[in-house]
Amino acid sequence: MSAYNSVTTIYKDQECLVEALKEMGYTEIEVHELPQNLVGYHADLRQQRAHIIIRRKNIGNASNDIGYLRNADGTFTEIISDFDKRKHDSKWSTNLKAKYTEAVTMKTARVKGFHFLSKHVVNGKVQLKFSDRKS
Amino acid sequence: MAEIVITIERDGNLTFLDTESSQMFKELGPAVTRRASHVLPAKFLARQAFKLIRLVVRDDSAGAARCRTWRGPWLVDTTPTAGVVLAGRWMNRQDAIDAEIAFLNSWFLEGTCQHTTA
Repeated sequence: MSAYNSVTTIYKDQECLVEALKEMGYTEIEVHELPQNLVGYHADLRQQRAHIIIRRKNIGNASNDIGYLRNADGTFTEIISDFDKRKHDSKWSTNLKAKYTEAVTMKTARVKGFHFLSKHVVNGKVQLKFSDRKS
Repeated sequence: MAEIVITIERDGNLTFLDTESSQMFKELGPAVTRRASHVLPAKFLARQAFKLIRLVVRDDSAGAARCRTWRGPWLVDTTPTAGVVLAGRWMNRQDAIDAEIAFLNSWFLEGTCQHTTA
């Protein structure tokens, strides 16, 4: 008998989240130890704060900052204004999550000492193969 | 040397077989474990006896372990996931398990039932 696991990935790894955002095209990303205020499209300081920030100048003239706030449990909450959700919609979020999942899977495997074997992509799904030399 | 195969779904979530080596990937988010398939005796009477014994003994019991040493042929029933019984029959149970793992990983990626018949 075999069993399988379905895991709903959540953003917990800062390094991998930044890596995923870079893969989505944002090369200038601020990472702060303490949360910083986001800036709105009028260059106004918003009450919302975040540890990971993509400044509006890197998104678009009429955009607000995008941020990721680290919660007490280590997970990150995405902060995207309603205006920016037109560009950063659910499809964008899904793509980001898939890139994050790949990055965090690779990192987890690396930490465990697994050897990377291959990557296959079929119809939008990605399959990663590793070997565990210890077992 | 164990092989670990991790499938990233289109929605960014993960699917993978539950093995000793894959446990740490369950820490990446809320995880749900489900049955994927069964390796059963191919012969009808042996299969019924196998199911009966497995119904009354625990999976980690000596009785369950003894069942796994029965002589083949064995079949792979993926009803809980792909919904088919694989076409092959295997005299060695480990060969059946290897085929089961290969099929499931292929099914997780492609979502189609290759090399199967009911």
